[in-house]
Amino acid sequence: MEPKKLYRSRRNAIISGVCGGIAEYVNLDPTVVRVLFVLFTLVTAFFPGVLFYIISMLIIPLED
Amino acid sequence: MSKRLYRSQKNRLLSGVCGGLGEYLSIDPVVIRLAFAMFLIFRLWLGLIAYGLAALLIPMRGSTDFLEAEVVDHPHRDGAPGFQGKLAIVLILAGIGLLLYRFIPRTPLLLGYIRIFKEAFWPLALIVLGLWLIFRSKNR
Repeated sequence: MEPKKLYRSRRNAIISGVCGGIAEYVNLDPTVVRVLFVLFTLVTAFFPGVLFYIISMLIIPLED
Repeated sequence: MSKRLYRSQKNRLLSGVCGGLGEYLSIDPVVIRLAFAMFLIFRLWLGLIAYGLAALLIPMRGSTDFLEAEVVDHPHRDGAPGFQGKLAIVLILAGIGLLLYRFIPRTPLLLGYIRIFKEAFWPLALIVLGLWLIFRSKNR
């Protein structure tokens, strides 16, 4: 069986759909993922969070 | 035969380590790459070393077919650097690196690089964004 694919979401996108795509992958409300991500970014003093977001944007393909 | 771990030839960005792990675990390779990226953000050198070792140790899919037919005593007699050759290169580079670090006191190691990276963050961010746009248009 093909494993479930992680995409950047087109429907649930605010910046580039990373959080929305992760939410669809793990079946969560996109808002929850965004809040968790912002929390992570704050807790780690911005740098790792922003870097991770950019890497995600590069690595995760856009939903077709 | 039991399932074996290979580097993937289909799902590869660099050497297929993450793609192969994804195929082995039946997980989207993208997820593996993200997890690895997260690891790199916090443990850059550990991650790089682990990735290098994985790339060396995990065989490429298809490259071990000969093992079943041929004798394995003298692999890579024909010039191409085999596993030992690659390992040697890695060891040499690691040694040179350690020497430089030992005797050139201001060679930045992990923290130094992170500081450089932080200071150069916005320029790098712009470059990365530009690269992303190029790759995106290439994929269409």
